[in-house]
Amino acid sequence: MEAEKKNDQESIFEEAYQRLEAIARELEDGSTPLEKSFVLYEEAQKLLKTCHRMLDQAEKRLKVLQVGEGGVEVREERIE
Amino acid sequence: MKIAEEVYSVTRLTQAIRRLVEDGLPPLWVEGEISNYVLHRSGHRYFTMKDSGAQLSCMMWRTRTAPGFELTDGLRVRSFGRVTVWEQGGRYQLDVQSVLPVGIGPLQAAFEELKRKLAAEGLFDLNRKRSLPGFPRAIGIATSPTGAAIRDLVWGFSTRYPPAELYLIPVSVQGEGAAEEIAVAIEAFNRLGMVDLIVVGRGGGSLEDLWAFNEERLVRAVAESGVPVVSAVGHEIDITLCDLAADLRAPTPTAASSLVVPDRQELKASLAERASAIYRALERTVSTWRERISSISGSYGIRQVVGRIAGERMQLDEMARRLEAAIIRTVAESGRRLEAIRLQLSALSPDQVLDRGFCVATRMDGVVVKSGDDIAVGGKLDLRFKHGGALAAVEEVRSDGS
Repeated sequence: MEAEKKNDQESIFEEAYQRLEAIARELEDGSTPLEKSFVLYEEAQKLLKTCHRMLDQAEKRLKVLQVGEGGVEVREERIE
Repeated sequence: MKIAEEVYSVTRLTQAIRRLVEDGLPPLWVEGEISNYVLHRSGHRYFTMKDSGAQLSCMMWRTRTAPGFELTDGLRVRSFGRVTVWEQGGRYQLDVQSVLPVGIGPLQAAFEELKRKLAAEGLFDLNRKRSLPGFPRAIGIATSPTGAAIRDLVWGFSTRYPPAELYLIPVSVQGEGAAEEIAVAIEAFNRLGMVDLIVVGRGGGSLEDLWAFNEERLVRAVAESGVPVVSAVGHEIDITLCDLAADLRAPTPTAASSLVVPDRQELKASLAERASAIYRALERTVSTWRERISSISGSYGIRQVVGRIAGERMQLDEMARRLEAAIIRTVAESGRRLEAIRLQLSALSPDQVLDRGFCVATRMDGVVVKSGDDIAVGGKLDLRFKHGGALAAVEEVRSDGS
């Protein structure tokens, strides 16, 4: 989507986090129509869930790269 | 020498001396012992170098790269710089670019020399430093696969900020070829392009142990990396050239995570804040709309409309009432008529006639017999009394009256 193109370095978490900020501001500006406010509110609820889920990821993996002439092998290890 | 005719002003004379000194002497190394060393609040360093025969005042601007060791009185050092004249003070001094303790090991000398050379090339300039991503998507780590550093780094990043993906290119961090391996890892991370931050480092050790992080090959790779580089080498006090070239220096691998990734708890707290801000904002929006609606409904225009509607409603009620009344009347009337009909019908209803002893005779073809002409002798009749019935045969047909 548009944000993706704009700056793909931006992590999913950061995007959601910044979007929440934008929604808060938009809702605080009184002129937002009621219908739009509800739509924004629902979007905010989804974003909050995503952010919390990402922050609470318990199971983490370390991707070990063996960089050879041929290319890169990736081996995943669990992090204890 | 001829005596000069014109009279010099102090300034002109001092300027002449300055030109003589600055043009006459090249940048040079001078050796001596440090005394009255002062690190001024401004960051400039002032000290004197002396030996048995003379003393030389020295000054090191704060913009110079800090010496890799503590300048202390009585220390025998070699300073590199240019002799200049400080006109206001009427004094000559050495503008020191770098200073080395004398009698230090070759490594330290090589370190200082390389530091000076790379500093001169601007590799350590502050304006080269890139800012780190606030929320790193993926972090590339180049360190030894065994040992404390990798554990501290990986554990630090994954617990503090789980969303960041973690990649490791295992390298040796000491001995022959280590600098090359780490440099290749940095270049690989740049080429592969899946990380937005690189961390290089190792646990503590002696100058020899950390030497790979002072080798030009690695320091240049760090400086030229397109991806920001964090250097987390050794203990707090160990400053390597890699640290100076990196975009951020973490004093130790354990300290790296708090400097590099946001903290989960803080993020969760600020998420809660945003959630409540959003909720409060929505609540306010809803209540302002409610007020707006109620204020509108009070307005003249609306009252007009409501009035008209009310008026129409009254008319409607009136019509409804009249309609209802009409219906009731018709129903009542039809009720009476129905009653009359019902009486008539019941008068004619066969049951009452039968009560009075009459019976109903029906021919076999179902036609009710009303007169003698309807039947013939020998025909059969179905007789129905009040209770039960009979089948009769016609023996005689009599005409009226007899």
